Formats: sequence, structure tokens, C-alpha cells
Amino acid sequence: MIHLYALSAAPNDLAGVRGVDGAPVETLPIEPIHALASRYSDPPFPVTVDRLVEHDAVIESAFACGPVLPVRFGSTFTDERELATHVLPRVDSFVRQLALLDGCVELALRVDFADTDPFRRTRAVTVVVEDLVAAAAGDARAVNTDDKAQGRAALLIERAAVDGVAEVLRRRAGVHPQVQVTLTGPWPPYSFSEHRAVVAP
Amino acid sequence: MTTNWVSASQARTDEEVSAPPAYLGQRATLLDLIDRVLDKGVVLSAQLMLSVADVDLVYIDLRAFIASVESARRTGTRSEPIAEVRA
Repeated sequence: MIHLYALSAAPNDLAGVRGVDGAPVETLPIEPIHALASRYSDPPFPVTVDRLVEHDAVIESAFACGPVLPVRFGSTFTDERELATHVLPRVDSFVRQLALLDGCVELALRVDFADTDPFRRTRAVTVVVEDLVAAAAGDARAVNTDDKAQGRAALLIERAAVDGVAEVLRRRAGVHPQVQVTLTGPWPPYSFSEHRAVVAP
Repeated sequence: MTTNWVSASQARTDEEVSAPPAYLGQRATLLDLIDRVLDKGVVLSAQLMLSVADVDLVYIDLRAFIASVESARRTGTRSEPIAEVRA
């Protein structure tokens, strides 16, 4: 079984990197891109927090070397042939996506509002997320507000702009004293790995 | 307002129940990691969605639990270590 972590434009040197359950990480060419994966003899393994952390650690290691498209945990294949069968039909899209993401990182915005009324809570966090994203959109390469009703959004920004965007969001958050705002990152571009998610703000 | 700014240049100072793995340093919470690893990223095929459907269920349960731990941590009502969490 092959467990897939990410797709990358260049072959990454991950010789010292360990994947889920300590397995070695291989770079498998699927021209013109590469798949980062580990091999296992057993069937798909159950989800644990440790395995999620290990999955992300591989993506982080590859992301330190260049642009990657993180793959959602749980993507397993029988062998390289089956993996290629699923990647090749979309490979042109992946190539374009990797080019768009080059030099960019993801910042994650989370807004929490304690309210027992779920409708009021949803309305409150949606308004705040929209406002914060609008404040930073001018500095973002793209935004993803698919989860704004849950109080979450992601911003794709150039790596050099991280501190500036964080400061913009910090100032804007001050006008929303009723909520808790958490900003984390920089992350690999998890929220921008499907082509539909990368749109101009 | 309570605002947590957890960027690369602004280290978090409060101890978290949902402590991030060491390699993440102080830049993230486990909740944000789970949001990404289980809910974002490329999904390669409809066939895979079948197996990922199980992941969806795990994601919902796990996220709800960790969110409750983080929330309780902020209000000082719970202190179990996240190491006890297993899907």
C-alpha cells in the first residue's frame, strides 16, 4: 500500500525524513511532477493524532524545499501504477497549481464566539471572518472562505508578507471585542490545493 | 477580546492543552493542524472518497473533542493532556 503525502514540482531530498509510523518517505516521479509517499505492507491504517502529526510533518519538510500540494490524509493506493492512474488525468492542473503557489504560504484565521444560540454564533463569526478577510485581502494572493460559517478562513500570501498581514489582522481584530481571534501559520497551502480554491481576492 | 496571534514571529506564551508537535514550534494549535490534514488538501479520486468518508467521521469527532478541550482550557475547566486523544 502506498500512502500519499503531497505532490511537488521538484524531486525533494527527504532521505532523513520519516513518515507515518516511522516509514521512509520516497519521491515517486509522475512526470512532470513528483509524489511524496511511503510504502506499507498492511491495509490502510486507522486515524490517530500521532499519524496526523506525522503526515503533516512530511508535508512541512517538503514545503521547506519548495512548493507542494498537500494531499488529504487517507489517500492510499495499491501501488505506483494505481497512483499514477489517479494523478495523470489532472497533472496539468497540478502543474499550474504548483506554479501559482510558489513562494506562498497559508495563514489560518479562526474566530470563536461563545454563544449557546448556534444561529447567532454562526452569524457573528461569519461577519467577523468576512471583515477580517476583507481587511487583508489586498495583501493576499488568494483567500478561501469556504468555512466562514464555522469561523474559519485561509489566506494565501507571499512568504515575505506574513508579518505585515498579521499586523493588519491584529489591528482589525480590535474592532471585534466580542470574539476570540486566532491566527496560525505559516502553513503549507492546504486550503489552496484544489484548483477551485485559488481565486483572486 | 482575547486574541491569539500565533505567527512565525510572535511566539505563543500560554501553555496549551492541545500542544502542537515540537516541529511546529509555537506557531499552531493541534486543532488547526487537524483542520488541515483531515479537511483540506488534494483528494485524488471519487474512489478514494469512499475511504475518505471514514476520515470525515473521524474528523468531525476529533475536531469536536479537541475544540472542546481548547475551549475548556481557555476557561480553566479541563486539563487532560491531548496525548489521551485517539480516534
